[in-house]
Amino acid sequence: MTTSAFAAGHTPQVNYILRCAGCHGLDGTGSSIGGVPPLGLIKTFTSDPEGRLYVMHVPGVVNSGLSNQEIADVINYVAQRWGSPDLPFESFGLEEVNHLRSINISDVVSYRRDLTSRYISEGKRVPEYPWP
Amino acid sequence: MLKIIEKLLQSLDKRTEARMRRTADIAGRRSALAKIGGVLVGSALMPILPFDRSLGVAFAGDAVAETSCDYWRYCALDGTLCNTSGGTLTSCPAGSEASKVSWIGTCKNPTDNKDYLVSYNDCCGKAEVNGGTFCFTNKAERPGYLMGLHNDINWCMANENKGYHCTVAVLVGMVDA
Repeated sequence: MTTSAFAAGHTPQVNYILRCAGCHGLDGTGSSIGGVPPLGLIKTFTSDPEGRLYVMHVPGVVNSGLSNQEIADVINYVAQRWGSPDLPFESFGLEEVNHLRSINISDVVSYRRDLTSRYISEGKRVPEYPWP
Repeated sequence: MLKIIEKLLQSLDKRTEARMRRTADIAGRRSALAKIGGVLVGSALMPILPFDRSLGVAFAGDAVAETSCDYWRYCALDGTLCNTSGGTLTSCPAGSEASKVSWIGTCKNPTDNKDYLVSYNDCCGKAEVNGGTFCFTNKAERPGYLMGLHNDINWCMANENKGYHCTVAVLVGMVDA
């Protein structure tokens, strides 16, 4: 994470509070009744190319109003703050975010279902996801 | 569980405000001058110092009442004020529960000219009272088609009891922390 990238705007922490914490909570735990997954297992997704593509198409990310650089910084902040410490994490950069967001995913819920089915078959832990 | 959330929100609000007060005491330009002024009491220089008699109390003298929609913390609020519905600025009225999800906005405190992050939690599970003050300020809200930036939502949706009662305004941080 560089400070120059967000010197003119908000820090990743402030952007997280402003654009994510309303639903995911100030502690990243989400809300099962509200259909908001917790962020503690984000590294299950970020450790896998298809998962990294999914993270960049999460509705809350797409609708956040943040720039691609700000999105990279916030996701890096979230993974480092709440991601399982025993899993490795490769930071997102602007170029990767630009590329991943340019790819079209027609049905993000189905995409996630397929993804998490594979993760479960591989013995990976995935967060609860209540959407039909 | 929801009582715990409510207590957590109140404690967060108090902690944020206390932190800002401490920062004002330690780092504030005006309070630094106040301390220097204090050291020099009785000296010949004393009369020319721009001496801040508030000693860093950043929140003294808010001119607008907390029950008015013009109060600074309500700059991005869409709802009925809890402090006109039997609760307070930061706590839900008895018989209602704080929402698990919320709208978070940025408001400038005119007293210290700093931007604060304010969480507008709805209080849920009780009918609205007659005569509560309804505010519709919504600074930085975007139209409904930008779902993630739209505040016209019942934030009680993630609670067991989804009926809307009123809205509190809890400080959760600062923009330039």
